[in-house]
Amino acid sequence: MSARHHESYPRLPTSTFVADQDRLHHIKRIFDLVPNALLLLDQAGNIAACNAAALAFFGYSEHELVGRDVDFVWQATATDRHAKPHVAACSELLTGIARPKNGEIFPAALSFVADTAAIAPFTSAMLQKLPRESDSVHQVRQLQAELAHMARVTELGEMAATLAHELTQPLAAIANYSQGCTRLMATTGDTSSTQVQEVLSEITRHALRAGDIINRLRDFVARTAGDKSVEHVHQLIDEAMEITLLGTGSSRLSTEYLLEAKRDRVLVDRIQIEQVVMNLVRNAVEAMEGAQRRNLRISTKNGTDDTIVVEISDTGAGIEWDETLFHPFVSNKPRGIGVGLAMSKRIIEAHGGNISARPGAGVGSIFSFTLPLLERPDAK
Amino acid sequence: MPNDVIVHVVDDDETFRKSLTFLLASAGYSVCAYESALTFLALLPLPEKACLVTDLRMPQINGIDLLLRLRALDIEIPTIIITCHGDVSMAVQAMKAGAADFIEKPFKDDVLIRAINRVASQGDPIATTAERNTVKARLRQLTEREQQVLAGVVEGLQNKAIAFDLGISARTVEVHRANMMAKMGAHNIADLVRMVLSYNGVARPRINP
Ligand SMILES: Nc1ncnc2c1ncn2[C@@H]1O[C@H](COP(=O)(O)OP(=O)(O)OP(=O)(O)O)[C@@H](O)[C@H]1O
Ligand SMILES: [Mg+2]
Repeated sequence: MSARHHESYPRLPTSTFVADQDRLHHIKRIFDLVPNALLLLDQAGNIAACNAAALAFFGYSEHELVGRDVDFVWQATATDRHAKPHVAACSELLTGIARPKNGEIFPAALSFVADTAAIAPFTSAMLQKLPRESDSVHQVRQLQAELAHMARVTELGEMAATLAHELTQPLAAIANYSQGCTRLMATTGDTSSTQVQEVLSEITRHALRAGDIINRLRDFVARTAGDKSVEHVHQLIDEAMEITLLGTGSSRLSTEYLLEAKRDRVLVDRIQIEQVVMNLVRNAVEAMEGAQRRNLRISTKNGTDDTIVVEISDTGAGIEWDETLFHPFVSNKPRGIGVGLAMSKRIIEAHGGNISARPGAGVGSIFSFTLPLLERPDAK
Repeated sequence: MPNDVIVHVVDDDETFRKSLTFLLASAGYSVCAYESALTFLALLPLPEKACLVTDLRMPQINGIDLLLRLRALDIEIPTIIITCHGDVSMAVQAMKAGAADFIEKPFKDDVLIRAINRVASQGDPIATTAERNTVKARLRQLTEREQQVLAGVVEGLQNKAIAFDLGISARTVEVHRANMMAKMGAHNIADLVRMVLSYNGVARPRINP
């Protein structure tokens, strides 16, 4: 390395080569450049020096401050009043009131370091603005609002639990009646109405399925682990799709399946995962209402980390992405509650997976979730 | 219809009680329905061969209390408990108090009817030899861990509690549990508890085949 090159670096002065004068100047520079307000106090508690930040902090010029008692610009609050900075021990944080030149006092904390061993003992005090009471009030308000929001979510959970209980009775009654009817028709040997019999068995099937969903919902809000079983994701997708596309007027909708994952065995609560697929597909279909092109695509692939990735893409209006998307009660639909995504997120995360959203290529959006694949059953 | 047994239904919920009465009647049973355990108890003793189907959660006297009272009165009547989902530990308690079987709401009619026929014809909760042998064969297929998990599940314990007892992770319990349920051919916990209790034929589930 050439000497010239070496010299072209601005170097910090090192103690061996720098005159005392330079060093003092250097220290003063650092003192001034520190962003916190600093005061140097002498043994009597008078201000001996202050940095640029301190001048800005109080709005005084240097000559107005130097020589003054520290009380002039800062006073400890009642509890700390006994503690004058220069007599108290090192590094305590004292709360107090700052009195700037413009008279608008504000809460400020002061911490200090005392060097009593030096030939000329001094104390350096650092000041820090504290949040105003009004700021705290604002924070408390915000917290309260968040709490109220949480309470709403919890309330919804409790409501769902009660609702689940209330709904089980009529559902069980529907199942009983339809099964009773089927039996009656069979015993009377009434063969003329096979159609009615078919309908009755459909009623039974749906009532039992609704009961099943409600039972899982109850597990979910009670946060007890639902029954997990070994399932194939592709099969769950098929089942969920069959139910979702019923009655969505899916005729103008083209659905494409790209179920390419080689491995799809997972340990999950079947109904919950089906619920997630249903939520995402329903959102996709809703987003494509009124769109020219309505393509729904469901694809799966294996992630690198022993997961299966499920993606649901649409050609709808697209999303304005922000992190509140997955928060409860976020909805821009007239009849939406905004729980679909929040619930899906909770379900997926409870299964050790992730859920995310991104804009589609050109149009629409892509919602994607992962689930950990089942390790070999005997693996510990 | 060969159903000479009278089924007594006790349930405080009118909607459900009526629908159950209709279902059982259409399956050929004679049915008597009561809105509370007290109205049923007032009619005792029953002259004919009977079977009792009762709700678990009821105000005043619940299903378990009803079983205990029957036992105190020394009245033997095969009883099927109807439970709501998530009441497993209460259901197991009911089985220990002498219930022959329990069924979760809502249910398929054949599940209930098969249960009624079984308990009514035998007058006791013990399964047929063939059924016992099937359960026995399935229990034999379980690994030691799976048996331990089964014991926990049948006691109404949650996965976390079982994991803690066995000193393994909750996720491992989930895996064992899923395998165990598959090997036992049980569709849900109610199924499993029924199998194990009927196999042992005693109050406390013992797992060793
Ligand atoms: N595929 C999508 N394309 C565009 N926007 C979407 C899509 N999915 C969700 N969103 C936006 O996210 C919001 C929240 O969705 P979420 O499913 O949680 O609630 P919702 O569909 O409005 O109501 P619901 O509770 O009935 O499902 C929607 O209102 C919508 O604005
Ligand atoms: Mg939605």
